[in-house]
Amino acid sequence: MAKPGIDLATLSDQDVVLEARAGRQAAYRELVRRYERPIFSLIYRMVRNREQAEDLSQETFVKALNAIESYRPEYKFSSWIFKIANNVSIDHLRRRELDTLSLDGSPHALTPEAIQASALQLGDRQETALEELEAKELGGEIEVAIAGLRPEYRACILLRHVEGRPYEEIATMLDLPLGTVKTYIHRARGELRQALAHLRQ
Amino acid sequence: MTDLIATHLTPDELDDWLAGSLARNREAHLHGCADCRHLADADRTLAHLLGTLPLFTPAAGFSDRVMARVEVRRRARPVVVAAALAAGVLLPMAASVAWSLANPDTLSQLLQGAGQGVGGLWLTAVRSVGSTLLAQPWYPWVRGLFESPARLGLVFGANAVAYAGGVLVLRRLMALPTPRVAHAEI
Repeated sequence: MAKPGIDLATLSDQDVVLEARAGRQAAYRELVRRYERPIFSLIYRMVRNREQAEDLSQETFVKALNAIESYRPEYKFSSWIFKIANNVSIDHLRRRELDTLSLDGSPHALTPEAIQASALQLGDRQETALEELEAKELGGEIEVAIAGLRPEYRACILLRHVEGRPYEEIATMLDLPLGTVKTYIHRARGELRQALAHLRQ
Repeated sequence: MTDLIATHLTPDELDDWLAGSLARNREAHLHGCADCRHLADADRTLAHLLGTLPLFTPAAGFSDRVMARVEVRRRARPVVVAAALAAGVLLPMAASVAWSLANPDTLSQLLQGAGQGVGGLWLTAVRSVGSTLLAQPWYPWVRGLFESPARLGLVFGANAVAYAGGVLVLRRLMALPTPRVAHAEI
């Protein structure tokens, strides 16, 4: 276990979990800091509503951190928390039908605050204003195409190509056979190729 | 070999190509097949687009909102647990030994009195159980079972079969199912 003075940011996920289990609140915060953006992005792209994505991301972290004692360190912490996030998203999607993705905010939002809250907010990867504009436009096209996929395909393709997870890890996360994961990803790629064919032309 | 070169790439092979690990003979097919090349290029573009998608940031204060609902539990360290056990078990034992050494006469009297009391109670209990058994209407029939060696063997055989059956049933009942991803179930 790390000494109190050690910078948590330099520790592996497993070591930070050990610190959290020892009751160090800063370790809990460090886990949230590490995964808030990837988890929020996955859930946001799954449910396509910022407010709901915020709530579901919170639920994911609260579930994971309150059950930190049941986490088994021989598995990756990232796999564990992504699995919880996916389960939370799929449960939510099963409960209700969602409207299509909008970069300008949900059509069901009634107030300017709600519209702003439900609008997609791009992260800080872009470098210049022009690149940001291009990235937003291209991102918009691809976000809409991803939104058109079945939730199972969406989860698989996001974990594979956005998060860069190997097939085996995705199969473990989603409780699916490896062959099914491959099939979902190949089909998702086929649908995305079709949806974005006009961009290539 | 010729068949392999003529066959279009499978989705798995397209994955291999994206990962830079496509077999050389399949590379040869890819170079000569416009359909496969088109598909591979499209997949590469798609993978690039997906890989450069931005990460979204939750609203400010997300971490605080999460932490407000998280119960931070302080787990006792092993040293503390050991110390508590020592205090709870060893100290009373030591106190007991010390008192016994300081008061040997009192201890001897107490033990003698307790021994007599327990012995008397035990004898009364055995007598009571024995007389109750003898008074039961089924007692002569049970006693008859033990009078011939053949009947006795039969009784022990039936017991052994019942015992083995019980053990098998218990083993089946106590076998735990193997969860597919146990570590993530919460």
